[in-house]
Amino acid sequence: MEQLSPASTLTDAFHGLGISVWTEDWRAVGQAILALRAAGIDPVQHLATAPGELARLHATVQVTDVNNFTLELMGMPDKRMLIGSLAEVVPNSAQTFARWFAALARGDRFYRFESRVRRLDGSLRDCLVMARLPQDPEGLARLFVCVVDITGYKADQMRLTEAERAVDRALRASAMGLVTAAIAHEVNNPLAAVVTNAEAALRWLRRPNPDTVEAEAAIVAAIGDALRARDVVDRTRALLSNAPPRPVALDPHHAIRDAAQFVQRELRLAEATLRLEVMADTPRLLADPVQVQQILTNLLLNAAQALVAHDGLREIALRARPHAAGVLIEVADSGAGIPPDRLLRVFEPFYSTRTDGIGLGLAICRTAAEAQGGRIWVSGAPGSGACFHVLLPAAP
Amino acid sequence: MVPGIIAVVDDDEAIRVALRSLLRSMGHEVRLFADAFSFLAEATLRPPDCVLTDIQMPGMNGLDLQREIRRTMPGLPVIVITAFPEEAIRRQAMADGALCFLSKPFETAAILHWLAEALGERK
Ligand SMILES: Nc1ncnc2c1ncn2[C@@H]1O[C@H](COP(=O)(O)OP(=O)(O)OP(=O)(O)O)[C@@H](O)[C@H]1O
Ligand SMILES: [Mg+2]
Repeated sequence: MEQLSPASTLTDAFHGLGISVWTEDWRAVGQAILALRAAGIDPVQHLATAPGELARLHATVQVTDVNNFTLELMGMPDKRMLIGSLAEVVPNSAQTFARWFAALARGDRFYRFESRVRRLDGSLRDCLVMARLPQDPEGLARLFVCVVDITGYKADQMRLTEAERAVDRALRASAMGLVTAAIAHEVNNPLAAVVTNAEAALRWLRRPNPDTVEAEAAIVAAIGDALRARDVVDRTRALLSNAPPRPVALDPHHAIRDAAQFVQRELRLAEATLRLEVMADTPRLLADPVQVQQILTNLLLNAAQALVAHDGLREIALRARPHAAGVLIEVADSGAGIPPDRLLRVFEPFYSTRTDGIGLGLAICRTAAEAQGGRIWVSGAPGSGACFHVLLPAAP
Repeated sequence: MVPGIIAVVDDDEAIRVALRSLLRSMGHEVRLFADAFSFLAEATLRPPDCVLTDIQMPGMNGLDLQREIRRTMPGLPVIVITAFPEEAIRRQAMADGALCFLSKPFETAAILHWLAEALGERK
């Protein structure tokens, strides 16, 4: 009996497994990293400021072989369509190249990221892309990249996320119901007392022998009740804007990064890219960290929601920069923007154009910004996206 | 309208004071109670002609008080007043035999109307 050699079993596996495998040549990239390091330059920082250089390096990567299943995954009839310059055979690999470069430059042992793969017919598949990154440049001549189709799994996950969000919304809505009930109760009581006292005063005065002492007492009581109704409204406002702010000195880098962390899921849903930028000389903020998070996450959520199903560029920029009156933080998106006549209205409580929106996000942002002694406003013509500006005090 | 003895049960002092003035201006005698228990303790000894009660009160709420009145003092008319009207609560109150269900702020004309009704029912 003929024995299968281990080598041929592996070759069978290479082609037979339901996993797409690519062999690629990344030598030129490895050499460029070594050269930059030898010159004392941080490769990642260098590339971040030289987009042309990134494109040039991308073009040097060669796909040398793919297994049979890769053709199935890509919906391509012939292997030859996938052999050659990575930039040419997989045009949208440009989006992930910076990530590959950074992983190699950092000396990561593994590359492991989710990506979207475009098939020949234009349809998209969600994939998990993995590779073990060799540490020596020669190993980079034959980099094995493994691509697993996780579209079905992602769809399940998405449904789960949707369900979670529905629960979130229900909780918020019921919290709103409770707040409304509390306000109604607290305001209607003094109001009823005002009306009743005023009526009583009238009746005391309209008697055949008017009783001015009783009437006066009722009027004095009515005034007290009206003032109480005002206090209730004031207190409710304080309650909704959360406890008194506890301002501390905040590093703008941290504030921005933490907020970005919070909205990863929504960014992925919207397939939006988020750019963070802190300009040089931006001072530290003097603000309550919880409220700053509240402001930034609400703005990022709105931006992500404005990009869901948006045709065209889906980008969000979160920037911090120095300002004469403190620190200016901006959240700008490439969505449809806000019509000029609504630039003020969007901050009103319960103003919402989204089917599942409550309309409290921006109202809370405004309360929180003002509680810090800051301001919030929005600019941006329709078509050029919305840009929200938050001005917060700087730490001394 | 024949003057009568009206009991007001409400945990809100402003409401009690205001109702006392209004009802007294009409010539009624008014007894104020801050909670259902103190009302029950006294009413069994000296029953009023009509009760105006709030719903949301600490301890025993207005609905429970109304049921207790039905049991121990049948025939005593109860007017229910609430600051947060909810349909389910209204239906419950009416099913338990409330004369009427008013929401705060209430109109004096409504109180007058139902008081006349309640006091007219007296034997
Ligand atoms: N980045 C944006 N681009 C376009 N429109 C926006 C943007 N941000 C807010 N809006 C508009 O402002 C409205 C109010 O926003 P707000 O955050 O207060 O409420 P919401 O997002 O609708 O609901 P929620 O209370 O759930 O946040 C939105 O419904 C939308 O019409
Ligand atoms: Mg919102």
